[in-house]
Amino acid sequence: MFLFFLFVFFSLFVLFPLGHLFWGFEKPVLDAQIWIPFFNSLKLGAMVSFFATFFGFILALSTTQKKLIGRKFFASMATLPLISPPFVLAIAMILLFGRQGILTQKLFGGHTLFHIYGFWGLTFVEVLAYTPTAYLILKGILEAIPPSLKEASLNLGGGHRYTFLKIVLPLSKQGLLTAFLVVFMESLADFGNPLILSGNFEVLAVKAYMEMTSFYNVNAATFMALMLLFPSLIAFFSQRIFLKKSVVVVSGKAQASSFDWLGKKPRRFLTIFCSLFSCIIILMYGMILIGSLTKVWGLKFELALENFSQVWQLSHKTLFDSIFLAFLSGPVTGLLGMGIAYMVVRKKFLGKRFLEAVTLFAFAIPGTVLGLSYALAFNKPVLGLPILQGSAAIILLLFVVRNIPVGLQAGVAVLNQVDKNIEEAAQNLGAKGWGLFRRVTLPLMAPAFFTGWAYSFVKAITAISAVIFVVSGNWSLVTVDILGLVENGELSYAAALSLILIAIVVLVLLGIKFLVGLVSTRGLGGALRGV
Amino acid sequence: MQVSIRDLTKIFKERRRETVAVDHFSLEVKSGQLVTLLGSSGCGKTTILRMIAGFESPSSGSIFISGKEMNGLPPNKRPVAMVFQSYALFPHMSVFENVAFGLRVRNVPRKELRERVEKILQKVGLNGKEKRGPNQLSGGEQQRVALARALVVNPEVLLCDEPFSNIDQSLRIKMREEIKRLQKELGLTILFVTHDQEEAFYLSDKIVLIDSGKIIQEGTPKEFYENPKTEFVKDFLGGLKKVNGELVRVVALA
Ligand SMILES: Nc1ncnc2c1ncn2[C@@H]1O[C@H](COP(=O)(O)OP(=O)(O)O)[C@@H](O)[C@H]1O
Ligand SMILES: [Mg+2]
Repeated sequence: MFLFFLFVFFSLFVLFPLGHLFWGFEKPVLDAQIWIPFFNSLKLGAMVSFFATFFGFILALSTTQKKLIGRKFFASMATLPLISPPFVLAIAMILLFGRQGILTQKLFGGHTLFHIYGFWGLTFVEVLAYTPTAYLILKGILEAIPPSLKEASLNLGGGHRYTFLKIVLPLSKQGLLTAFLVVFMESLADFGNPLILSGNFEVLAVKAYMEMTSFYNVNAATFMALMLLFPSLIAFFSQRIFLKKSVVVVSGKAQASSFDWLGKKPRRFLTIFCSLFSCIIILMYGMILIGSLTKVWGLKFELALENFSQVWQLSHKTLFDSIFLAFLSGPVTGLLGMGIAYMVVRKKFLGKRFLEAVTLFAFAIPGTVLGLSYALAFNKPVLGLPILQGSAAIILLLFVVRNIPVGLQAGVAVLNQVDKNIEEAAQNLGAKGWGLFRRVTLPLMAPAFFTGWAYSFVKAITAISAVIFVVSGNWSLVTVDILGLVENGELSYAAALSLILIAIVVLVLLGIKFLVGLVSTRGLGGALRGV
Repeated sequence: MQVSIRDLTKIFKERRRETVAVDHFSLEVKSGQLVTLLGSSGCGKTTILRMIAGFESPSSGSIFISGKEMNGLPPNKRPVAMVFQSYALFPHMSVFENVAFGLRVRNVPRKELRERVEKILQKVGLNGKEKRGPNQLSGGEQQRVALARALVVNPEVLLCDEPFSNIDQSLRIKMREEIKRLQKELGLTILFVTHDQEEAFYLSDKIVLIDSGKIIQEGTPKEFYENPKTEFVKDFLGGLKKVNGELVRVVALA
């Protein structure tokens, strides 16, 4: 029954809209111009992934050192960008280095230091925005390396550098590759940052959007979307293959260890790096704070609280829409994810691999591509359903489809821990099927469910790339409003609205954490880390 | 004295809670001796070994190996080798590379390295399995690799932290005999941690019984039988009984 529902759900809301990309696209665009955004996107993706992976690795090395002073603070800083839409960093960039930027005006006497609109500005911002992704992946990998391996290496005479090169680095190889590929996918799919900062440097995601909304050129838009889809899919599947070959085996039980395998000198280097990184993050978000309190950026640097009342007037409706839809998407995503996880881990049935593949497939589709395909597929009645375009349902559906893979992963992780014996005991006592799942398995999975909820909420409320294709006058989202304000040059308003959004995310995260009794010292990003 | 430990104390401080893991512990180990630290779980045995290896720094007291003070010396500069309870084999290296690790660190020339590794693998009965990965070995074989990896660097002291606790009973008895043989053959100085009285009695030249980080009694296995100092010692050894007489012949049952 549930299986049938899933089958219909995925056919209708993943495969069916994606099919429209192929139908919508009539003939290849043979214009040589078309390849420019393609190669730009790849170049940007490669550059961003390289630096984000590198920085993420250094940060992860640092925060896993027990003796590093301020490691908890650094961990929070390394994950801070996750709780805001990525393009908030682009706004901060303009506030700092733009023509009216504070550094441009105050330090460099009105001369722009370097051109932020283009490849380098974009690279800088995306590196900051996606370093947290790489950090979380690599932190997980580094924590999975048993401390005894590093101790064994030192014990056999290997110095810190030798231990790093021969033990830690080889065992992180898969993680580094995974981080690289995942960030590559995120950069390819990024929409907000290039929309604000790309200047003459055209990238696929923005170009596809422009073709669709400004020129109504469905053929060109779908062609771009397909060009965006394929590198993402390649990155996604190679990452799946690498992950399968993971080698870390833990035998026996690990000794609790407060020993830091790195020596004093490397630790000092790490501290300096983390401090610099934290300073940049604080500077960027500090700019948003100052920007939100300033009357007109660049002209009148004077305190003004009315920005908040102004944007409240303008955007409180979309703000509530955003909160409502994002909050609602949480439990839906969570339940679906858990349900699929339960089927995949515990049940045997025909098409199991297919189900898993399709679910994860949704993760590999760049937001822009999915959004475009929804806009094409649901602007007319489908199977007797009313027209979805412009409704709240289509936004909710996009949120859910995009976040189910995360719900699934959280569910699988927990299910693998939940003792199968408990379930079997319950089964012997007569519980079966749905009853077993609801009364026994689900309560055991509750923590993952709430983590999934928190994660979906944050992901949804900060999302832009997919939903920008399906918002309407009736149902819009705060991220779309912020982008609009930036486009109109209303930077102070944009900053104020971003700040309100960040505050809401923090409040909701703390609320959910409190509810689950998960209140711990894991830092702001902590709620996201369990996934 | 090969190892001499004086008044060693370790206090762990965690969020204002203090645990005294090792409490004024002193010990002398002669060259070529096998000394066991015996005690129930949580009594501080691992902590003592980790201080000798340099993974924890003592709160007070000192450790000398061959007369050299160890305090402040980083783990990679100490003349000891450890066999970890969890084996700690490098999962991304073959058996050969695992054993060669310590020699590569020391820049031993290729030919000599190969000879030494093969010789030690022969000794622990692993020849022919050089190319396998650690996860293609049984528990007992993994333990032998760990042992070979520690022995190949010719340590002045071998530290073993419950090396046989993760393998099954019959194999454990075999490994026990093997380590005793190796010790005799190579003249090793071994500090051996266990919570298994039988193991301690079979292996030891000297047993040190520990409770809550303090020494309760030390002496040869014989002295323990003949003169258990306190009720605690008697209780701890409760499972063992001395049988007088001579082994004449073993009859196979079954
Ligand atoms: N890194 C540590 N931090 C805090 N307490 C520790 C640490 N390592 C060990 N302890 C404590 O010290 C005591 C002795 O531990 P350990 O030496 O591991 O015992 P054993 O090896 O004899 O089982 C235990 O109470 C343990 O909880
Ligand atoms: Mg122990």
